[in-house]
Amino acid sequence: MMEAEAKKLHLVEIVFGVMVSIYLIAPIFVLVPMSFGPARFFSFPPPEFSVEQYVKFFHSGPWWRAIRISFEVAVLASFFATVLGILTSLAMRYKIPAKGFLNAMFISPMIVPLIITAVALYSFLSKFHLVDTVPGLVLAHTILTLPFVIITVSATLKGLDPSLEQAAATLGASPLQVFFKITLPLIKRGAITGAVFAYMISFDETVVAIFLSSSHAITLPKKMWDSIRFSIEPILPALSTILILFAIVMLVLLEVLSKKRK
Amino acid sequence: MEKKKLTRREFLKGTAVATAAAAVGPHIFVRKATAASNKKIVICSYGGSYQASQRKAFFEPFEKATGIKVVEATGPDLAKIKAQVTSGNVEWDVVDIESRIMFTAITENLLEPIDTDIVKLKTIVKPAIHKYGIGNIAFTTALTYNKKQLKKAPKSWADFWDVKNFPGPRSLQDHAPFNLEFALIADGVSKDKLYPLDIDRAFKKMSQLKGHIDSWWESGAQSIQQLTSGAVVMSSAWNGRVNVAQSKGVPLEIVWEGAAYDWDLWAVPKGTPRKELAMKFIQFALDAKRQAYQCGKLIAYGPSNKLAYNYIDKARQKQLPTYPDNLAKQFSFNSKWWQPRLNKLNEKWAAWKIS
Amino acid sequence: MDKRLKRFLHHPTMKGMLLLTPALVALVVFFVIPILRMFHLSLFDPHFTLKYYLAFFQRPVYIRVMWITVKISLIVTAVCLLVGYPFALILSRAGDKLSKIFLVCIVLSMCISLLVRNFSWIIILQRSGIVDSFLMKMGITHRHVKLLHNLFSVVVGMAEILLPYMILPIFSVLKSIDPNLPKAAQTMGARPVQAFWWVTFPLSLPGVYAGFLLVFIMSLGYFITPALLGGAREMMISNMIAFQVQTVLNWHFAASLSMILLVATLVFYTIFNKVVGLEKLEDLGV
Repeated sequence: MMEAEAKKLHLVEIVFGVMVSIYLIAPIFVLVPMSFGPARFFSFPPPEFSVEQYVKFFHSGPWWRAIRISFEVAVLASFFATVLGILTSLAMRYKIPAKGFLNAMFISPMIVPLIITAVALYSFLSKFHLVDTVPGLVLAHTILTLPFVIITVSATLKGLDPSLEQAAATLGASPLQVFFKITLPLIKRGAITGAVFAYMISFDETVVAIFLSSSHAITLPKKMWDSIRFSIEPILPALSTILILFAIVMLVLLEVLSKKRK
Repeated sequence: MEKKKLTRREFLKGTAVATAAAAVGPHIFVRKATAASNKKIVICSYGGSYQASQRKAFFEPFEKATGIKVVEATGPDLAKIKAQVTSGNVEWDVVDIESRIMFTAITENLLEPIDTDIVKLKTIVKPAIHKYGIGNIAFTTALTYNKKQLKKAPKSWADFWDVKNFPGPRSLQDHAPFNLEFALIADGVSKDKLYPLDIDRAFKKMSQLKGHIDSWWESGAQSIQQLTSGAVVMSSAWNGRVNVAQSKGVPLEIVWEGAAYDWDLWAVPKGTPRKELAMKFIQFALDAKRQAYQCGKLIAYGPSNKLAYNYIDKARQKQLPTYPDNLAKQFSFNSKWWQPRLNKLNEKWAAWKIS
Repeated sequence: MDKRLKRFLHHPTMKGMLLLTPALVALVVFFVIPILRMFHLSLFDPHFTLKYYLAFFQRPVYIRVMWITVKISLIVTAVCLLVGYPFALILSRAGDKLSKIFLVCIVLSMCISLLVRNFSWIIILQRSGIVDSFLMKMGITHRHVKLLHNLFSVVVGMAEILLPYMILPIFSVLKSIDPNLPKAAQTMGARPVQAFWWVTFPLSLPGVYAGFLLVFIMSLGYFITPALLGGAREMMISNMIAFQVQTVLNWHFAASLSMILLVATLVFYTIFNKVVGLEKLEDLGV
């Protein structure tokens, strides 16, 4: 029994594992050093150290406008998705007819290929003059991120002992009081995690943005997509590095949230 | 247990603060737009160095002179114009479109007639005058190559198809127009006898080259970028953009022989609420001196206002598509022939591309 | 409040329905109805017609696009399986520190924007880019090799993004296998390789099915990577839908293509549900 303890990995296995890990995060290895090169041509390794890409980026009005729009949309979509997601997760605890069907329907935005959602919403929202507007994007992203919040909050609710709420009710608390004083604090972690997920997904969302955003409400991914497709702007490596940095920050945030013990 | 109990008031307060912060916060990043008036006009053009030249020569001066803010958009494709006009939600007040797009838009009833009370056409060259659009520049689509990437200089479209003597990846624009003509010229058809196009022969010739086309460019900037970076050695490209790149030191050259000559026009989508402003802008942009500034100093296209040539120096005129020597080597793109066949041929093109 | 109304509203089912209404309304209005409209567009122009579906089987270009989509999806799924399974295995057996590093790489890659990752592949694979220059410098090739805007680059790009969705399900199943089982097999005389094939591998199959189906389904609907990293011959069905909407302006074709893609996706998800169970999707999210 002792001999079959923690088997050490062969060198080959470690090398394979490392190679696959590198494959998974190749962008970091390429774009980060490249961002510290001259803005003119893309060469790797960069011939000289320069921060002109970052300087150019920080002075670029159009790019900051795109970031602002993406931020606004992401915050609003995340807010609405979280509120709706909490309500839905709470609702699913009760005996409702056709629960399985409803559950599947709420998950469906995650399942339906994005291009279909994008095209369908483009056609539908144009009737209400909501294409290329922030409200239109917020509507679309709320729907897209709702399933993630529902999954996250539902998972937290599963671990919730219903007797706590019942106890509060028997002690005379009204349903609203029970919700705000007992339920909400207990699902806070799940809700915040869901909200962060929703924010990240909305901020990076590209396919729907390609159709729903063009000149007025242009999101960062849409602007990047245009740039990569049509005229690669020299600040892209710098912008990418900043986005990678934010992804790392978000990841750490999620880690911290999941580590918090009750 | 240091578990904080969240009261309802705290929760609502927190949410209000968060939402307010979300709405207000990002504004610190961007300086407030300086447009004082709520008068604005949206102009859609082809982006890149071309639109930059329009910005310098027309958009900014127009803002200064009238106080009306010019909002720019790029990508004036027919699909979007049609979608806007049919839904009654016109976003673009003025569009800069190529001739065949204008003719197609006319058949679909998508444009406003040019208001000749506001837009004076006396000194505009005849071929640029149409009921629903006024030519702004004559542009050339030509074989462009990177001097550093090729040992021998290509002289014709036949050379573009000659992969043995001129090896390397190529690029062409991602649609049928112009490419079919280039293919026919490469196959030996004289440029005066191109129309009506022998479509089957053109596609057959295109198939010969398909394996050597590295990418299909969709924007002017892309065509130049690929040539500059060496991703392709030869491509079709718009001469004005090439000229701008050359002025920045990029080793590109164009071949006038067998190039295509066509017009870009200002047009106004039907139903725009700012029709009068749109016409005012077009009148402003047709001014001889302003056109001379754009074409003489910024980008080498041919102006549509006859008088503009008085302000462009002779050396520069030699670089324009309208210079007689250059004109003689080109063929005129027949958008009237293309217009009824545009959709069908573009579908055939899409099918051909992925086969 | 009237006592009966109060009791009615406090009835559990009613409470549930009331809580559900806002999200349900939002979902129906801004998701279900738009998609139903597309369904309607695919069959009515405005008279009832099947031609937008029949064209799918009659015109070679659409058959070709479907074939390209399935082909690429299968290749990407196969690559993910061949690379992902061994990696999941190694991950499940690695020590604490190493497995943490590997997991961080996986999760981090999932958090980085799709556009950034595709852009990096363009830089790496382009002519005179990192790989091309390296190969020439090392003398392995003497001319430029075309590594971008072809099947190779699309597969490399898609596999990189989808690999975690193959690794994680397999890893989670492997981790749940009782380590005593293969050990028992070995004490009974089986060599390590045999212990793996006859004990571990069969037990890991649910994870394999989950990963396989998930990656395949996601590949079918892919849009960005084939558009940025693919050439003309790598046009997948989602790119064709976009082409119909933005360029050709044929909403009817776009709608019928969308419905076909949707049905295919739903069919495979149903298989997924039967074989694995939709809850697995939730496990992956959290």
